Amino acid sequence: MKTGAKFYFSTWGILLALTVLMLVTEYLSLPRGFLLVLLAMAMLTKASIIGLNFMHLRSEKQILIWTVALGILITGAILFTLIAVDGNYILHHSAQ
Amino acid sequence: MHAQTMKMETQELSFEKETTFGVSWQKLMMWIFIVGDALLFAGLLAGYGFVRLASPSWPNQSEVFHLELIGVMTFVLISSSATMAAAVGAAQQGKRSQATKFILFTIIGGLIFMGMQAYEWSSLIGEGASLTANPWGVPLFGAAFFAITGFHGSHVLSGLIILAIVAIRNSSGRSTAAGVELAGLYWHFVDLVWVFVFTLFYLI
Repeated sequence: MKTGAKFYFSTWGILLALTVLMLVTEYLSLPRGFLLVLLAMAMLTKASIIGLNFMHLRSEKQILIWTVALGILITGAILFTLIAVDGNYILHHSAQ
Repeated sequence: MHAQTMKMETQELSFEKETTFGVSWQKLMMWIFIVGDALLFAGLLAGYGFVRLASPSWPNQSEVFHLELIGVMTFVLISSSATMAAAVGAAQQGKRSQATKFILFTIIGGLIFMGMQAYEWSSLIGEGASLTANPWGVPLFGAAFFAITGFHGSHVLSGLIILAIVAIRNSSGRSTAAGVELAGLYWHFVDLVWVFVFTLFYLI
């Protein structure tokens, strides 16, 4: 298992840098679509770093890593996709 | 005979016994809890997404929230996660007093985070925000805000209670490195959820 102050310090630094980057984007007038993709990518990267380095998933068996990752990602994706479709429909429907 | 059975049962409950997943059953249970709890948050955030998509307009977050404050809150929580990781590392190396010290740093971080969240809540309530109404035009904005940040805040609070218990037990030599690691997993999960709340609620 990869541990030690240096490892945690560098992980902390990367997470902090990503957070600052995300905050800075709020003050730049970036196109909405590009901003959404950028923020979503930064969010998933941060979540993966916390899971892999701080929660030590990196050194666990593949079966545990995939159970956790797929369990959350697939169910989460289904939830968000279906609700997004429904939300869009309602917005469209109420506008008519 | 009875004593032998008891001994066997105790051995079966030990941290050393690995499951198919390559971890102790206690750690596996914590992971199962984390996945379940993560999906609970996913449900809340998806509900918020639905409300947001179905609303013709949504308040501009940078006008409602002090994003600098939210940035500092995020910094504090990430830092507390780093100190918790260091506590777990120290406990695994048998450095008990160092582990206790890092757990205490983590508790301080958690308390600062909660204090800032209390300040944010009281500021918004002072401006007229509640579960049913707010001055920014979309009634469900307040409901989504208080439900999501409140649910996360309750996790921070329970995490602090768990950490306080672990710190006391660790300092008196009653906890194991595996016990500290389980508390750490929960605390990192609280940090992990904040990554999603921070992005989806405050930034997007």
